Order: sequence, then C-alpha cells, then structure tokens
Amino acid sequence: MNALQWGASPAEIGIALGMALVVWVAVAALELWPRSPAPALAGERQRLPRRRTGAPARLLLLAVALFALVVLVARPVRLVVTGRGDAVLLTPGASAGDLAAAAAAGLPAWGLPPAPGEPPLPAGAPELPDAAGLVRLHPEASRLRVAGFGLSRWELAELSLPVVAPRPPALPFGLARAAWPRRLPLGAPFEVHGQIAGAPAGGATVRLAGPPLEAVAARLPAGSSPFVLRATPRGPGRHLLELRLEAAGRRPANAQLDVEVVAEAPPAVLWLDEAPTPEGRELKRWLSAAGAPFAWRAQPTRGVTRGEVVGVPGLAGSALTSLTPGLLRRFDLAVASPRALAALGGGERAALDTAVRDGLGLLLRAGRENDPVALGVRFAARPLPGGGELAAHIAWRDGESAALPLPARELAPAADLLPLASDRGGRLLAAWRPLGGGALGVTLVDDSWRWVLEGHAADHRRLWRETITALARPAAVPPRWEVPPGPLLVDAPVTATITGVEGAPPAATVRDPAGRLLPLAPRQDADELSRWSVTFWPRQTGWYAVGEGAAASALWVASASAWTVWRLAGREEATAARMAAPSVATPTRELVRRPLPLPRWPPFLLLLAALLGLWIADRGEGPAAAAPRPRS
Amino acid sequence: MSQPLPRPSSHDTLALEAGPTSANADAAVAAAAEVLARLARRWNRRRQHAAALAGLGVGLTLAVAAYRLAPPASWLPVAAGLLLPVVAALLLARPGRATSSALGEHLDRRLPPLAESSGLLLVEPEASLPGRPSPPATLSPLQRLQRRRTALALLAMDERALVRLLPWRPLHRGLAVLLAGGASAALLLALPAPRSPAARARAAGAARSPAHATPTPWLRALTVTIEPPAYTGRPSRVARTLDVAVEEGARVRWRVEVAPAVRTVALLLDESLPVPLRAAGPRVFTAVETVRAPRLVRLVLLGARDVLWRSPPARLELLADRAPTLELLAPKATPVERPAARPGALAVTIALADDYGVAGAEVVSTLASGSGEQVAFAERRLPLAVRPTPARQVVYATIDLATYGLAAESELYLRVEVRDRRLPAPNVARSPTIVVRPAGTRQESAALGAGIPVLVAPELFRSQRQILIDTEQLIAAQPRLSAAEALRRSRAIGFDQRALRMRYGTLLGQELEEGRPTGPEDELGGREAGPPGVPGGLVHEHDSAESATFFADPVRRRLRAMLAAMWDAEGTLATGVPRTALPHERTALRLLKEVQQADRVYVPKTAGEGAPLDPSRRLGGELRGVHDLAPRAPERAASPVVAAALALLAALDGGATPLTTTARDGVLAPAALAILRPALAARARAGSAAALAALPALDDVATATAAQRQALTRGLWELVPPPQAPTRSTAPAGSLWKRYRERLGAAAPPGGGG
Repeated sequence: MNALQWGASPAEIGIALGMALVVWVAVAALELWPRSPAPALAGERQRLPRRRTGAPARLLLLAVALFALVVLVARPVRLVVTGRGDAVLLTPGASAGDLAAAAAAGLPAWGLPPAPGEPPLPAGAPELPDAAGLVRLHPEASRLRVAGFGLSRWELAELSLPVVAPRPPALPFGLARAAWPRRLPLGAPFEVHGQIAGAPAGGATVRLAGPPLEAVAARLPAGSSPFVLRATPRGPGRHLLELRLEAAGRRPANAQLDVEVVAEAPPAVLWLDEAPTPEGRELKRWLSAAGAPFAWRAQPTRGVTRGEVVGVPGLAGSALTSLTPGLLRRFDLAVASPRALAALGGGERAALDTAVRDGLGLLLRAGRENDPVALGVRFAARPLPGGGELAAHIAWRDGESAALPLPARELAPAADLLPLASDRGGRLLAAWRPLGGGALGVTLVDDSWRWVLEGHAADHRRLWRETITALARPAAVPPRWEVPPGPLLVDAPVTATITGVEGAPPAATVRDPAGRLLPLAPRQDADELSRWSVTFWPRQTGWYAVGEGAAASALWVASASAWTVWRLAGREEATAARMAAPSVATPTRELVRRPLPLPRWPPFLLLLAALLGLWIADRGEGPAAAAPRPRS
Repeated sequence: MSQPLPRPSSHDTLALEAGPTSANADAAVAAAAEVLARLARRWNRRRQHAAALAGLGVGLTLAVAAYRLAPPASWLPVAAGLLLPVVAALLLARPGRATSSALGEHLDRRLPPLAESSGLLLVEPEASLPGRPSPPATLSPLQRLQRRRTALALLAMDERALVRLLPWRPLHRGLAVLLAGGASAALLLALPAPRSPAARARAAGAARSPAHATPTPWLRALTVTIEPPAYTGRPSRVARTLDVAVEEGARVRWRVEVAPAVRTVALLLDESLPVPLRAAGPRVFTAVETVRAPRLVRLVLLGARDVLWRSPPARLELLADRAPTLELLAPKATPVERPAARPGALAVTIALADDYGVAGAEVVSTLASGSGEQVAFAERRLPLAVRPTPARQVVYATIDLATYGLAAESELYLRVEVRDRRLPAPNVARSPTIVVRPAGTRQESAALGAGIPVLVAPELFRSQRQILIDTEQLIAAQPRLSAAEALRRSRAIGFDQRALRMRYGTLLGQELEEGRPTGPEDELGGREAGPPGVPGGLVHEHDSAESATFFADPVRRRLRAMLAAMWDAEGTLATGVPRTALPHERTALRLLKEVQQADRVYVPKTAGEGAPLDPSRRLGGELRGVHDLAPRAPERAASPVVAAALALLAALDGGATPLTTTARDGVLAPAALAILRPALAARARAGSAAALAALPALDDVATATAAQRQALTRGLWELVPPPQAPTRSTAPAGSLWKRYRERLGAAAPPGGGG
C-alpha cells in the first residue's frame, strides 16, 4: 500500500507555497493593472500601449512553473511497505535489472564479490567484502532477498539470516554436476555421473579420457541432461582423468577427475555343482586367466567328489571333499546349483549357513527349479505369460547385453530383495538379500557361457563381475579419510571424514603438493563417536594427501577458477536448500513504511515546459508590439 | 628542368641585321633543320630508353612472380616475364610522326629567342636542302625572314645545351617504373611463396621427422638412398630423413657423414637389433639393407667411450606389393554344360591388374574322368599372353573342350592363375573355378514313369522334408490358385514323392516297372510276414538276402512302413488333395528319421591310448591315484612387460614428479628397460603414435623432461591390458556398518524371502 508524502517539512512547504503565491499575485497585478502610455519624445516613433491579450495564458503558465518549483522544493516521497531489515543481496549472475528492482522496491542492495570465472556483478552495485561482512557492516539486515545464482554453502554458513531467492537465471554451458569415486579397486569400472547445463540446440558431447583407460563419450541432447560415463582403468596408481564437454559454437569445458586405483586381492569363488557344466568351465577359464582364485567341486553321485582349485595357494582339489568352516573362510562367494545344495550333508549345510551369516556370499543358480530354496530362504519365481523362451537382454546402467535364451519366468519382487539383474523389460532375473553378515542371491540367468561362444564375452564378464562384486564378502578395509564426492577447489573448504576409529582421536595431517605437512585437530561426531572430521582450505593446485599410512587418501585440488558452472549450480542448490530448510525459523516479519523518493524529473520537466511556454508567449508578443502599425 | 637559355651571339645578330644573302639563309635554315632532326632523334632515343626502363621494371616483377610460382628449374617463364614487357615497351615507344612538331613546340616554349617560330623551320624541310630550288611561295617573305632569323638563332645556340633542354620526364618516369618494379620484385622474393600440396607434404614430413637435417653437430649429413626392386620400375630416390616409406624388397642405403669425434655409427633396428655401419671413407659410414618388413630405425653415433647421440626412433614404412587382381568376365555362370559329343570351345575372358605389372597368367584345367570310385584326374596348364603393365588388361582364351578331354562321364574344372613379379616369391591370384560338364548325363536313380510333364529338380534337393514343406506351402497357397494350377503343383509334388519312394524302395529290393512296385502286396503294406502264431519281429527271414544281411529287422519294418506312407501320400497328391497327403508325409518323414538314427554309428575321437579301466573301482568313489588337473596346467606367469610397465608407471607417478632414487635403482634397471623397449617398438611399428613418442623418453628416464615423461606414461599405459579379475566391494570400517548389516540380515526371518 503506497501513499504520497513529502520529504520537506510542512514549514518549508508552507514558506515555498507562500512565496510562490506572492510572486504570482505580484506578476498578475502588474500584468492586469491598466497603465497610461508614456509621453512620446520628439523624433521618436510613438509607442503604442502594449496589448495585454495573452495575460491569462501567461499567468497560467507562471502558476504551473511556480507549482513545479514548489513540488521540487517539497520533495514528494512514496511510502513503500517493506519488511523491517529486508535487503537485496546481489550474487554472481545478478543483472542490472535486479539492482534496479531493488531500488524500485526501496530496499538496500549489496553485492558479494564473484569467485574467479563467475559472472561479474552489475555495475554500480555496492560490494561487500564477503558474506560475513554483511552481518558486521549492516546489522540491520534481517532478511535477504538473493538475486543471481545464490550463495555458496560456506557463505550461507556465515549467514544465519532467512533467505528468499526468486527463480535463478539459467546456467551457462558447462558441467553442472559431477560425482565419481576417488578410490577404486583395480578392475572396478570408473563411473562418473553428472549433468550438463546450457547445451545448445545441436546437443553436446561429453568425453572421458586419460592415459590409463579407453576414452568413452556420450552424446547429450540440448539443454540440461544427465550422463553416465564408464571406463575401467588399466592399472593401479593415482590417475588424473579428463572430462571434456564440447558443443558446436561453444568453448569446450575441461575438468580433471582424480582417482586412486589400488590393486586388491580379487574375491575367491567356490563353484558347487552336481556335475561339471559349461557354465562353471567358462567361469573357471575367465577367473584363472584373470588371476582370481577359483575352485569347483562336483558330486556326480553321493560320496564321489571331484574338484579343482585354481589360484588358491595351499589348497588342493582333494581338500574340497567336505565343506568345512575353515574351507569356506577361504572363499568369498559360493555359487551352487539346487541339486548341489540338496546333496550337502548336514555338517556341510550347517557350515555353509554359518559362513554365509559370517559374510560369505551365496549365489543359487536356480536352473529349472520353480521356487528355489537356499539355507531355508525361498525365492519365488513365476512363469511369464505366454510361456516359451525369453530372449533376455540384461539391462546395464549404460546399455544392455546381447540376447540370451532363458526359460520364460521371472523372480517375484519382494520388499527384502535387491535386484541384481533385470532384463530390459524390467523382469527381475537375479536378486539378493542380506542374510546375517553375508548375502544370499538367486539367479535365473543360466547358460551365460553361450554369450562367450557367440562372441559376446564382454556381456558374460560383466554379468558375473557385477554379481560377484555384489555378493562376495566385502573386503575389510582399515578406517580411511574420505571426502565427499565432487570436485575440490583451491580456496574452498574441504571436509574429510574418517569412520570406525575407536578410542583415541586419529592423527589428522594434510600434506600439500609442495610436501608441507599441516597438522589438523579432528573433531568428533556428536552422534557417531567413531566418526571424526577435519576441514582445511587448500591454497594451491595439486595432489593433497589427507592422513597417513593406511588411512591416507589422495585428493586432487583443482584451481579456484575451474568448475565454474558446477560452482554456480552449487550456489543454486545451497540457496534452495537454505530456503527449504525448516531449521531457519523465519522471524515475525515487521512491516515498515519506507519513504521512497519519487523521481525529480517530472516536476523539473514541467518547470522547463512552463518556462518555455512563457518565453514563447513573450516572443510572440514582442515582434507584434515592435512592428509599426499602420495608422488608421 | 631549367637549363640556362643559350643566347644568340652578337655576331649572329649583326649578320641578321646586315641582311644575309639568300644562299646563306638557306644554308642556315638547312643546318637548323638538321639540328632539329638530330634533336628529334635524341629525343626519340631518350623516349625509347625510358620505355625500356619502364618495361624492365614491369618485367622484373613478372619475372620474379614467375620464378616463385613456376615449377622449379623452368626458366622459360622467368625469361619471358623479363623480356616481353621490354619488347612491348620498345614497340610502343616507336617515334611518332608528331615528334618533330612536338620538338618545335617544346623548343618554342623553352627558348624565347626562337620567337615561337621553330615551326617555320619544319615547313617542307626538303625545300631547304642545299641544291634545291628556293622555298616555295607559300611562305610569305616575312615568314621566310623570320625563318632565317629563327634558324640563325637556333644555330647560335650550343647543341649540347639544346640536348639538355630536351624533356627528361620520360626518362624519369621510366626510372620510377623501374624502381617500383624492383621494389615489388624484392617484395615478391621476400614473401613466403605458396607451396604445392606435394611440397607442403614434404615440408610436413620434414617437420615431423625427428632426424631431419642435422639435429646434432655430431651428424654432418644423412642420406638415405632407396632403390626399389627393378621389377617395380620405380626410380631410386634419396631422402634426408630416417622415416621413409620404401617398396617391399627395396635396397635402402644409409650414408652418414659425421664429425671427427664419432668413431662408430650404428643403426638400431626395432630397438633391439644393432646394425653397425661400414666405414666408406673418412668420417663417412654406410649400411645397406633389403627391407621386407616395416622397421623402427634409430641412428646411434658412438664416440671413443660412449654413445654421443641417438636419434629418435623413426618408422621405416613398407609399401607392400599387393597381389594381382583378377576378375572373371566370361563365362558368367558356372557350371557350364556342353553336349558330350560336341563340346566345342569355351571362351574365357578375364581382367587382370597388378600394382607393378603382371608376370604371367595361365589357365589351369583339371579333368575328372570316370565315374563311381574310378575317377581319374589330369591337370594341364595353358599359358596366356599378358602384357607386363600395371594397368588393367583383358585377356581372352579359348579352350577347346574336346582337346582337353571333355566327354561323357567327365568333368572339367578350369581356373585362371595370375602371378606378379614380386621377388623372391610372386603373389598369385586365382579365379573362381569354372566347372564344365557334359549336358544331360545325370541319371535319376530310379526310372520314373512317363507322362507327367514336370520340371525335374535335381535329385540332390529331393527329400521327404522338402516334399512336406512343398505340400504345406501348396495348402497355404491353394485358396489363391486356380484349380488347374493347384492340381499341377500337387502332381509335381506327387512326382517328387514317387521318385523318392522308388529311391528308397530299391533299398528293399523292390522291383519297379514303370514306376510301380512289382513285389508282393504285403510288403507294400508293411505287414510282417511270418508263420502263423509267431509274433512279427521274432521271425528271421532266411529266404531274403536283403533281410538277412543289409538291415536289422526293426529297420526293415520301418522302411516298409515308410514306403507305405509314401505310397499313400503319392496317391493323394496325384488326385490333387494335398491336405490329405500331409499326415502320410509326416509319418514317412518320422519313420525315415528313425531309420537314420538306427543306422548312425558313433566314432569317438581319440588322440591316444587311454588308461586301462579298473572295473573294480567303478562307482566306488575311490580317488586314490586320481590327480588334480591343476598341477599339470602350467603356472600362469605374469607378463614381464606388464610388470615392468606398471613398475615404471608407478615410479613416474603420472609424469608429475621427478623419479626417486629407489625408483631409479629398481625400475630403471637395464633388464626392465630391455623388456619395455622392444614391446614399445612393436606397438610403434604397428602404428601407435603414443608408443613412438614414448621411446625417446625411455633413453634417459631419470633426466627426461615433464613432457617426455608424460609421453612415456601414455606409451606405457598402452602396454598394460585392461584388468580382468572381478572385484570385491569394500565394507566401511568400524562397527557401525557391521551392526547395520547384521540387523538388516536378521530383519527378514529365514524362509520369508520372496
């Protein structure tokens, strides 16, 4: 609700009005008073009395001019109702329109300096040193309206004020989000998930390359779209990979992704079957060529056992005659057919059950069983409508496998089942559930060796690699410092966390690229006492190492100007999260009427127009009076 | 150009005033006219000089442009560009008719004593020659007087001064054009010339070549002479770089001139095979090699004690001699059937081509004569006349089939073989085989009844399954067919069925007459014959030779039943009711397959003697003496190349940091490098740019620059295969995750899943 008021005091306005009135009356009297003509001098042309025909118009113009003067003196203001302490904060991406809108709304506006690479603030915006400076310099500000992409997470940490952010501008072309694992066991695929923004109409190409892996690329449509790129590093070590985004007519965006690949012992697989099968033979061929431990045991008939061990030192095939707890501890995953399970003795069954509850993975190859059962757990399989054979294309995250003929049935989904493999139609073909400390899985995908014969060995390897990784006993790793996924930048805080430290606080050090060691004081998590964290601000680009010994982690810190679009997207996210956060209690908003001076140019223009009119009127009068008039 | 004006002398003035005689005056006029003519000639010469200068200026520019743009060593355009403008300018500057009057006007302008009257001197100059009549009356006396005055005034002037008075502007202009031409020519010479694609390619190759020119003071000159094999017809050529592409079998001669400090020079082939160069003079070494495979070449200069310089590796690429191409143009189709009595001649047309020319071609014929197991083969070769050119050529040959022995019960197989001139062994290309056989010699295995006009399909393709398929197709198509067409097709299938029945009938010793079996009726029905009271199948018929020897009794029974089914099908098909024939056909097929299965013999593939079986241990579960297969399998050894590459990569650490001392001691051992070097060389030979770039860095890893280490890192990663082994997930450390997993696993009771 706006109302018109005056900036000058009533006395000032009264004096101005009075003076204007006096002036007008005086001029009106002079204009309208009848005057006698002056005596004519000899030789001079006789001056005729001036005809005062335009006097009312001139007086009207004079009145207008005086009114404009009075208005200029009185300084009219508009009262705008705003919240007490409201202010506008201009962040990177704010436009001159935002600044003008703040001025129009009668709100103070300040800008925060953009980080390197970010869009600059509009010209003329008063700049604050940083977010914390706002609280110190303008303690009256109690509620911020944010223009632009918003505030970063650590800037918001400095501000406890409620924040309102209208719709942020569209992100420029670049990588808006990216997440990747910083540490990988050798052989595991490196997957980078991300999202691009601002791709032009022709689409964009995102490419992951680096010396230790085969380059992979994905074509993305226009606008903002997510992507997943997957490649397997060839060897161990600290690798710096390049993620490149290209589009026609745009400058390519480059980013560096760090990953530390460590060689770890592959899982040991125990294959239990009633007879040697091509499936087991293919798995043996693959795992023995890959250097992974593998053993198979077949029981063609009760009491007769044949077995073979590859790559398990100190274990002979004859040791597989009986499954003992000691034997099962040497393996991470057991793959069994229903008949092989049924042929187990009571002691073997108990040993297997105990081993699974202690962490061993057990995969049941369902074969043609209707409702396969393992260790007392029944998995429900149901035939597909129509029967016959199912040409299953296993759906990967980044594609699908070649067709594999399977019996037409699927696993019935259940709340405690985690999918392991599904076909592209969404039919669940393999799943698992936790059982004690281990995992119990079932698969309907059989005879996958056919893939290898048909030239699709990669599909076979991928199915079994994912199955083994999901079910095998997890590797126990000592506590290690970890940082959240995403890029790390110079001059941005890095928080490293270590979990599983019992007792004394862990030693927390950071070694910078120059080799300097910086000791840090870890802080203990209030909820989980075995979790500790440290925060540090890297000051230079390069490899940092957090922690020492087995707990150490390698991190690549990119330059402060890198990942610009990611930073802008982070500002958006953090600001939106602050807006949505219920913890920030919005104080009762006290409304105040804030005087907003009206623009001075309209009365000034009015004054000019009136004066111009007066001048023209006078000019029009002059020549007419000066011209010799014909005598009558 | 202001020259001091010559003034007439006082003597001349007096003579004029005294009134000269007419003869004297004429002589003066004539002399003045001669002076004017001389002056005009001088002026013309000056103009011509100026034109020549201008032409030279233009010609210079043109000549330089021609020199830059024309192919090297072609001087004609340059000479033409230089001379033609000069000639053209001289032609254009020929003396014009207006030259004398123009000279007069010029003198009038420059010499006031001539009183604007030099034109009078030019009027009929022949009239003023000595010995001629006096000037005509066209000139008034006053004009004549003035002419005399002018002549005297002119004669009074110094002729050299008059020459200097002639206009210098043409000469100045010519000089200016010459200067401008010279400047533009210099500019053209200085500008980088546009190069031909070939020159660009050469330059690019030279830029790529690491051993271009002399990259080190130790190496004074390097010449690689490539002598392609004579049969290629290519001239020998010379290169200045190590990376050259040579023809297969070419002799490559490296000639190296070195600084005095160099004692020995060697070529390192494929990073592993050193070839020392022979001293061919003071500080000159040579080596000759015949190249039959792509190599990787390095030049190593050795001093008295150690290696002075080692060139980066360069690819010696091989331009392989491709096998000739051969296209059989005629005959278009094979087999070719000819009447056995008069087979006539067969025209064979082939198109040949080869990259270096065809050495020879011949028609190879193989005659298979005889039948059954008495087939004899005879091979003949007929050389063809070919031109030894690389271009495509078409060769015609006419094979007289009778001469080659084609007769009844024989087949002739023809093919064309072409060989090129490759040494030591030529490339050979062969055409598809043309089969020539006598027409109409194939016999049906059983005599078919006459009177059924059908197209006979080859007996090869006739089978019970095909008859079944044909019948099903006919049933499907029957609604769309006319009744006559359906009947015709049904009868055709019936004909096939009949032929098949008779073929199988002969196996049972059926006698056939006009296609009808003449045996006892019960055999056709498949009914078993035997003494009454004895079940069928238990009877052994000793009276039939076939029954006793050829087939077991169940097989024979099935065969009879099959023939009966075929008979039924045949009859139904002949009446145009294929739908009724279908069950009989199916029965016949099933029985036929059963007979085939019964007749199958399993022959195991055995490579050697197996261990003798011990029947006492059979199914006993006794494993004593049965060994695992694993100890017999060879141990899987980690690839030393991969291990060395990974170790060096770990030491390099991405090329970011210098090597540590331990890394130098451990990784850079000569053995490790000796493993890596050939592996990288093999990849470089195969075309890997990363491997080629990595090799120089391997020479001195410890002191390599950051860029070299990065190149080495890239090259080494190419040697590492992708890992194959599966991985394990990692459990978060601490008790929190363990508690979570255990509670999660205990949440669902056993048996509750799914």
